[in-house]
Amino acid sequence: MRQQTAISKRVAPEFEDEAQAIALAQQGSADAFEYLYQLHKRRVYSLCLRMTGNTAEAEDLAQEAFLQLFRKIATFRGESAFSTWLHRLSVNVVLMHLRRKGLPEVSLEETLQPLQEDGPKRDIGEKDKTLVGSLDRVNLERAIESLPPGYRTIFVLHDMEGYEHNEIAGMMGCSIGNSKSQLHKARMKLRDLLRAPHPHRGTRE
Amino acid sequence: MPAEKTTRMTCEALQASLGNLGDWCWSPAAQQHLNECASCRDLVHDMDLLSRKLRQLAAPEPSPALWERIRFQLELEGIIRPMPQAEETAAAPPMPPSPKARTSSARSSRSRA
Repeated sequence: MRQQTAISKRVAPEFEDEAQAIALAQQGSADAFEYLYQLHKRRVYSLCLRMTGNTAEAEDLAQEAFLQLFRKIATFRGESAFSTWLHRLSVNVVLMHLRRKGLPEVSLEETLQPLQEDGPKRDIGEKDKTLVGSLDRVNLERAIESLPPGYRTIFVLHDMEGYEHNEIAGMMGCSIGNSKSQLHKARMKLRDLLRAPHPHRGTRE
Repeated sequence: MPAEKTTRMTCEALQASLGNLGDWCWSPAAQQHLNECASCRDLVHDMDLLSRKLRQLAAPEPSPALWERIRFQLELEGIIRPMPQAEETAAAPPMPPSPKARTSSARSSRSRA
């Protein structure tokens, strides 16, 4: 809520609604572009940040996503939601970036090392039975950042951005089954990261 | 009872049936497995907690410089254009004369007098 207040203070231009801002942006209004940017910047940036785990890369990718959108805004006819269009475009920008970097988005043939944590069984050295004591915001953010890139991409798209497996499969060029299997492994990996001893655990929040 | 035999579920099958976080819809077989398997109960507990915590994560904000970079590029490419009727001046009254102009006109009227 505190952050919401900060956002509303930051929004400079005022429009009746998003549709009015889009219409004026199509005519080249700087204020309309800024309004649209302020409205969507957090979601686009956080998507980029969570998929890359790097603030500088995330800003570059958010910039690229907004620029691509604004260059095409004259073609927007309102058949789909503007936010859907922007977020799908942002995902594509990030996925293209990951492809260029050569990072595995999803290991199509299970090329990542098989994980020991695929199942719920655990015994040796186990301290926490469940995540109750360890799951604070800082640890969670850190653990998501620590996921291997392929797992992180699937986890962010499905569990944070709300895409369905068929959409993810389409975007990433893998099967629905592969998307499901990678998501399960990502969740197990995340669970393990959250249960692992961390030097900062318990010192913040 | 033959019916019981068909409802047995393994840990792997239960995990494969996990769909959207926190949005579980357990079959009778899955429910029975959860009643019997502490490991899977722990797993579901953790996933429920994870789901709640994910919803509480705030979206981070980019640096203020990001908009400046985007705006600069939009201007460079001619995507931002001067509006025919500038929004900020359309309804604005004419600017009053600057203090300097007022002073000099007052001086000239005084000197004429």
